[in-house]
Amino acid sequence: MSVKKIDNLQGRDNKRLKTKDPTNSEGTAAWQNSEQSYKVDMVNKPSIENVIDAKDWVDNGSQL
Amino acid sequence: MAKVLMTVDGNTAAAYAAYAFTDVAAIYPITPSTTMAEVVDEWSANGRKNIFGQRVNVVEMQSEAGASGAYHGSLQGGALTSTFTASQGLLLMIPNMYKTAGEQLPGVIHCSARAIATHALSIFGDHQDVMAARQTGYAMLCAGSVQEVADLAPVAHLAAIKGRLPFLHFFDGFRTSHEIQKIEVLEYRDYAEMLDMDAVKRFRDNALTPNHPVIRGTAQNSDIYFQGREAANPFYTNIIPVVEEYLGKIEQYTGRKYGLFDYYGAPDAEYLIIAMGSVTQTIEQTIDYYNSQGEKYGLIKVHLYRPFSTDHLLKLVPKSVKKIAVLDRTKEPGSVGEPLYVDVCTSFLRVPNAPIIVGGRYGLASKDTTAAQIAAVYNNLKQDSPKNSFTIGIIDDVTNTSLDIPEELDVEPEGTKACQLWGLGSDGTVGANKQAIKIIGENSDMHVQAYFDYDSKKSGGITVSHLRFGKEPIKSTYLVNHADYIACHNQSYVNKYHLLESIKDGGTFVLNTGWSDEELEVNLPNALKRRIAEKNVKFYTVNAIGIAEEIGLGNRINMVMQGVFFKLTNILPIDKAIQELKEGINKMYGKKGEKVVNMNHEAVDKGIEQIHEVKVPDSWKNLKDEEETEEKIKEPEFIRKIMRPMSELKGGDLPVSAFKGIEDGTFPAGTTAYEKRGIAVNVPEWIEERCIQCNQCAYVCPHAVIRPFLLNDEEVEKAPETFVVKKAAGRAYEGLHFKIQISPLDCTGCGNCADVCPAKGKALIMQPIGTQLEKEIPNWKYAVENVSFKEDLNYGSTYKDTQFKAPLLEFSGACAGCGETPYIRLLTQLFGERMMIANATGCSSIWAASAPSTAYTINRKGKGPSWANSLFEDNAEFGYGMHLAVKQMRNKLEDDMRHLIDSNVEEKVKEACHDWIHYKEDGNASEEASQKLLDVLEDFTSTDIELVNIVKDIKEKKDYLAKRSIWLVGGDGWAYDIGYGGLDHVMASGEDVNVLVFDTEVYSNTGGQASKSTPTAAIAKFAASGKKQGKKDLGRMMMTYGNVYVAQVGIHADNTQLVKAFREAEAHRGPSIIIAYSPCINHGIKEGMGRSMATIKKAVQAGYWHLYRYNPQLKEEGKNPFVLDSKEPKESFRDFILGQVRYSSLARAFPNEAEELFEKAEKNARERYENYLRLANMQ
Repeated sequence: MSVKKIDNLQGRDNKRLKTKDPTNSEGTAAWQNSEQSYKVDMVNKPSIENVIDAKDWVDNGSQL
Repeated sequence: MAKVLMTVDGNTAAAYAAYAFTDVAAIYPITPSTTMAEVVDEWSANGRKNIFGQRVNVVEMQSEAGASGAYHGSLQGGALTSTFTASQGLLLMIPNMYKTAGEQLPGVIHCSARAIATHALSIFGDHQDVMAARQTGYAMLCAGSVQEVADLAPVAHLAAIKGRLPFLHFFDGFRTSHEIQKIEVLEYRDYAEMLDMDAVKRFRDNALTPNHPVIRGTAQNSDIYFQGREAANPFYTNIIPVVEEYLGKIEQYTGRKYGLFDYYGAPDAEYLIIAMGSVTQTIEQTIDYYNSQGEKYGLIKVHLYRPFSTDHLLKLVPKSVKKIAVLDRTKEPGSVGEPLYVDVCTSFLRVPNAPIIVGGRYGLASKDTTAAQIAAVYNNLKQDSPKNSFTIGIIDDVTNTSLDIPEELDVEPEGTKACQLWGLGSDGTVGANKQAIKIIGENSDMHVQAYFDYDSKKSGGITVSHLRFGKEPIKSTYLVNHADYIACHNQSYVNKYHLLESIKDGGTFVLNTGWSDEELEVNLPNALKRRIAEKNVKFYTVNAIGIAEEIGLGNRINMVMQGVFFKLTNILPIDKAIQELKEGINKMYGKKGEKVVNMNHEAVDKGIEQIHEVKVPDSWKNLKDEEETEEKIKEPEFIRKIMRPMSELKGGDLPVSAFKGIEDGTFPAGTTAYEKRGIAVNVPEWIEERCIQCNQCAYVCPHAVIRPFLLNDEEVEKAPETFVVKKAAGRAYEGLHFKIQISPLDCTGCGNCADVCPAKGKALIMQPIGTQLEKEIPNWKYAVENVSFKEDLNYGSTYKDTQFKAPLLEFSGACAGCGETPYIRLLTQLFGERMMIANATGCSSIWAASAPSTAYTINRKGKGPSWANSLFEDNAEFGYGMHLAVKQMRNKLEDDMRHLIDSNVEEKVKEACHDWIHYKEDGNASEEASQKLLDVLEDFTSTDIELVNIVKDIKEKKDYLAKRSIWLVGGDGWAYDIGYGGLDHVMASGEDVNVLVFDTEVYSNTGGQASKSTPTAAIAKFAASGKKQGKKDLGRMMMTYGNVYVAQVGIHADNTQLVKAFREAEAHRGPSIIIAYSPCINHGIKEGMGRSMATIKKAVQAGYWHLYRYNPQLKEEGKNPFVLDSKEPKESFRDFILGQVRYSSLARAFPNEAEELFEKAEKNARERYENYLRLANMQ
């Protein structure tokens, strides 16, 4: 198999374009933990502890 | 002599020893070594003293090259100096390694050995880096386990001081550096007892001083340089007994015996492996297994690799040995064999009747090396003609180097429990597992091991914790492959990952899920159900999210799952486990108040109470995999054969031939479109009647998942019923229909789009993802597949109009709400078809191109940004090189065209050539002129061969006709620090290149170390008590050249200014640099990352960040080139910074310093603004 220029993909023939099942839900991520939502637009507002946990993960947990 | 027990990783063990013997540490962060420097800095900040009664002075330099220079200087100044590095970082230190070895200075480099970037970058471990440094003259000492690190690290320091030679102490990156074990270390007073204080005095007396000055570092010629090199030979001979002496002292103090080489196995072994590093632990395990069945296997572990003592090696080889395999964890292409193999072969050169020796490679980039692979090595030795230059752990079906591997063995000692826990980054799983290890380690006499395996998403990536507990020492330096217990903390993983691949017969599987048994029957994939039944798995569920929510913990499931873990693994008596867990909770959460503590206690209790055992039906044994009921889609070959297996964590099974044709590391663009990860909890729902069609939502979206579409009548007619549209606003779009469409499974759910929406009542409202999938998935599919980009429209030049062009950066691995991606996403909409991107290593290279996910993509014409990452420090030069290549090709084209103009060709040809030359440096115009030229030359004929060849040359180089838009892109770590020298040089060149700096004000990717962009008072690693120095004004420095276009921008703070700056920069015929404020999760934005764009706006309003453009073109028009775009700050600077944890935590941690630093920060910002005002008001 060789990757020629024409092989660049454009998202065509994509099995997951119709799929409805998530494979990597981040429902349990610290930044998703909702202390409350902003009124009207319902954007998530995490608690300060969760902001700290999310920061701690990128600073100390995630190893990149 | 007292022994201290600690449960730590290899990095911490190395740092513990290094701290004792170090006066000064000059460092630069690089994965996986960074922790060593960070813990040393933390201990110093907390007042720990080294054996000389002083705190270590840790300085972060601008690069490893700088760190090694400071390390060298510090040694010459008389301070015992250490540093910590890996990979490219070590390579950057090589020139100073030669220097410090040549000058016989007792420095120590601790290296968590890591792969070198070749066809790809890898953060994972092997010995390529240390092997590249083996000629420098450093003594090299290798540790193969966390305990060995603790024992050998002090030997490196002690021997360096006494023997007057620097040491490179190394251990495997990740496999040892990040593996947690319970180990013994000595107290610092024991180290002090061992230390030769006379040698210390001699070192300090030898330091450079004006009191008795000497000259070092002369220039020498061929008359004496060689002799000078050879004069040091005795030091290399003498270091051997010195190392032996200190290994003896370690044995005396600890009871653990080490030699320069160590033998393990049958005293009458016939088949021998020689190796170094963590693999030696696995080999020992394999030997125990096979020798108990009558085999005669042996192992020699190498500790002192340089100087390499042939005598000591040969003394250990049993006379019975017939064949030897040498394992190297490196690759030296083109060599007769890898380094350790060559050393061993040379050792046996004069030995009569020497054994047959073969060499092999293993474990590159932490490729797991298991007992079965070691068995294959011994099996190979038993062949009449054992294979040489073999590989293990891969299937090499191209050059056929790989050995056949038997079925995986379980060689772990009886009674060892192995667990795998699948979680999500920041869900608390990893932290909880580290706590579990500590609890078990400290409350039992069991040995413990923890190792964490992640993917490459900075936040929200998958984490798999591999834990082991046992009565016997744990030597399994490979991932858990026979698991007694597997837990999955994320229900969505059942749809993708082979969770139970490693489960033992009769093992336990726990799934965090809200599904009932009936729902499990429907929702679990057949393959998983079959596996559960086939392996007689004890299957449990627990609704950890439900429990956590009920208690008031929201989505914090870690304590619930901890209770479950201890209950089901039965490693400790449950009462004891609960008691320890709750004590741990008290310590961890005590400061947050009794309520929080009690909630977490309750979480543990409820987790234990509400475990539900699922009765596994027999019918599950016979289930077949689900068939595709809908039309079979044949995905592109790359996706099918490489991307899908890699995404499912089955990339390790890919053979070498899978990469045929892409041996140079080339990957196709646009693979992220195939992921559809379904990250979000909530996604935006478009309320079309409220929408004012400003497109700000799309403009700020970090992941390009929300886009405006313009449809004609026919497209609307064919659209799904739920595809709601409205009449497009604006004269240019008359007669068309407008829609905002979202891709729910690509959305991260950050909410920035909804937050910035200015419509009354909001035209975007976040809704649970489950409510949106049914209609929006087919709608998205329709939009991207069937709605065309309307080329003929007279699009305006506002930021709104930019959004109708498809972004050519989509669905990256960036964090939700990332402040970097919206800028470059916009750039691809403006110039993507002509763009070449040189990207520095950092977050922006990781979210863009962590294989197999490539986020830059192509449009329907097949065009889009080319993208490449070279290194960290050289990005400006790398991109500049691209520019030079393109310029050279285009200059040849111009030469060709001038020749045609001067020749006897048709007028239309001359005209087309004139036009091309005229518009050569104008992006859009050159595209048109290029197409015109190609049309004209299509049927060109001539009897003049020279002209025919010229036209042929033009056609062959047609790719270069349209002006390229070259962008050098990276973070502040690159632009302000390690890459600054190159950046400065490229800016000074006057050439037409563009730079985009994502200014997160910190090294985001490597875990939040301070850069020169970090402002005063911000807390960062190596600025733990708040940064004292101010933020570098990179923009003003670049303005001093006079011909560089400079802009500072902030998306959403001023969308129009941003588009103007991008366009002006690109059009400027000279160097341009744009510095973009990029909020990051590291900042700890208290309003949440759903307000990251709003934060940028606030930053400008508070005078924290300023918007301006410096356009040299204006000078030529007699105008002031500097335009200050942001207004007088009106909002509170103090309120702004206290809205971020990186500032507010200073007030808690260092209240005395905080006020002074906050004032200084505000003063600095004010001064910056006044400087800009002065520039703006200059006549």
